[in-house]
Amino acid sequence: MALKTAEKYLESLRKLDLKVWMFGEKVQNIVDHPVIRPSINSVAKTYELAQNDAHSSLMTVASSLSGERINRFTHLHQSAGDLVNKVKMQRLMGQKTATCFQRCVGMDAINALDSVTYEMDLKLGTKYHANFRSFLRYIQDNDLVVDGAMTDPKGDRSLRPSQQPDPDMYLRIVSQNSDGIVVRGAKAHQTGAINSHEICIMPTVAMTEADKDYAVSFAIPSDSSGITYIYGRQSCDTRKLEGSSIDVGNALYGGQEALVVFDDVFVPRDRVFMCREFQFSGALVERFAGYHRQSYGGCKVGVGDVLIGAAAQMAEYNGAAGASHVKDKIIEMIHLNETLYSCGIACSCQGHRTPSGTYLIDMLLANVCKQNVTRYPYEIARLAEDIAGGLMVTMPSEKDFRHPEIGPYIEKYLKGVAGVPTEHRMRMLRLVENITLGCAAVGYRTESMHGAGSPQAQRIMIARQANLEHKKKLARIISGIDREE
Amino acid sequence: MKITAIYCGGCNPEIDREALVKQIVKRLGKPVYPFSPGTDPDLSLFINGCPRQCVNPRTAEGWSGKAIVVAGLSIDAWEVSQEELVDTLLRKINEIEEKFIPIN
Repeated sequence: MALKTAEKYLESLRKLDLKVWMFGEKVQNIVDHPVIRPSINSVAKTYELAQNDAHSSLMTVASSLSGERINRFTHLHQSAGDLVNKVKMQRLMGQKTATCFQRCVGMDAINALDSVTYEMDLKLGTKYHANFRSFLRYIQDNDLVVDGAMTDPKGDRSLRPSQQPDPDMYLRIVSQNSDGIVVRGAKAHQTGAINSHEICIMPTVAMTEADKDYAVSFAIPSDSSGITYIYGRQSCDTRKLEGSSIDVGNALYGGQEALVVFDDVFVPRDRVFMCREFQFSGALVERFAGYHRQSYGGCKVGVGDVLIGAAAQMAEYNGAAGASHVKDKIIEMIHLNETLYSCGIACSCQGHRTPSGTYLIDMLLANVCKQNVTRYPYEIARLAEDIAGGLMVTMPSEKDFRHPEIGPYIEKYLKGVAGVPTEHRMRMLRLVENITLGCAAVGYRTESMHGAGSPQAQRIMIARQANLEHKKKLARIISGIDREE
Repeated sequence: MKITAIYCGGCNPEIDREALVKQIVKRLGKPVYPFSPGTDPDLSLFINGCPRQCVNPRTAEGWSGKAIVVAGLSIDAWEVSQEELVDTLLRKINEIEEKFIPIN
């Protein structure tokens, strides 16, 4: 059976020998660390729901490689229906965790690599596709988490990788022999890296021949020698160290990012998927980005569902649910959220088969999807804050609430409508705070802006994909300038 | 070798499907027939305006012979540039024609 339980996943993480640093100290036990554990719980949820009869039809699928039932996060999409189900699964996961659940980057990386390595081998006579498929079979058979790692630090953005004063600003090949390659560099903002069994590297931009040492893709175990993880801070992260369940907003689940440093890391030959084939680096970047821009039409929508629910619940707790402007704001939030979902579904329905058999999303619609994601969650968050009220950011702590002397004041003066405990009101406010400006805002806001590429990256793709000449021709025909042929 | 063209609906094309077929006809020097039931072509060209492949050998009914699927800027799922589109399609047609054995 290829499917792991959530418990087995936690057990497997304990066996990893990861070099993780946080707050200037080496972390000895990542699994039980209070700052890290919520992010691990989010990934564990992908295992838990795969075992749940009420969700397994969405969370699992028959492998195209083995025929075995596998977690959809390790699947190669074999139809437009698979692409649609991917987005639905992501919405479900967002609803269940209210945060980034981190397993999407790996899924998007394997799908991009499958078609690109296949086409690269046929065009250039290389032998990477077999390496990749062998790696993927191992991932599927063992139900592993893969960190899809693309973003390099990039240094001076006006210079190409090979022009940087420090050559390590993009991850690169520093040497190679018959056994494999040695790489140096770093990957930034690595979502879920510390919760992953494997790390799968891709180039971050289309490379030229001068940059060919930077055109590299491979996968290695996350605890390989020479890899160091430096944990990323999140707004309000140290609240997790206070032992509070209210003030964190979401006590169970969270997201995670890290700066991952590769200090002369050896990669065996059979784990290399691209080695200086700069001609295909652009295709790999575009396809991974396309899949990941589709992903946001699912995951952010699921988190949006929770935020809309929290806003509507707060309106009831405040006694404002009947106000017409509040009702209208909630309708607006739903409209924006479902528009994002529509884009995620649309780019999936319009997906097509690539030569390897793996399906690729409609690139134009996926980029439109992500462009909307750079905007709408901000508006949804603004409306949620509007409805929740200012108490969200001025409310006393849980410790004060629990204090025998001052707690009763909070209980009395922070009460909303009759019948709703003050604690419920506080919990809901903290949840809104968590998603809009606390730990989960990393995923819901800034990741919506910059994850899978910043807004301008999508606008470049939209300009490239849209057939403007066709639109001009349509206008010339309708206006009587040209005749229809 | 009788060739037919089966078109998608053309809702949002990224290529000019009709212009493509006209160029193929001109370069081949022989007709490409519109598809209709009973045509019994030796080669069916599935001409889609975008990569979605709304018409393809799996979904179309009544087609016969060999198949080539043009879907936006791709031929048989392989991406091609706008400049390469006509030449690549012609080359594929010629490859099929070279191996074609008429059945009388």
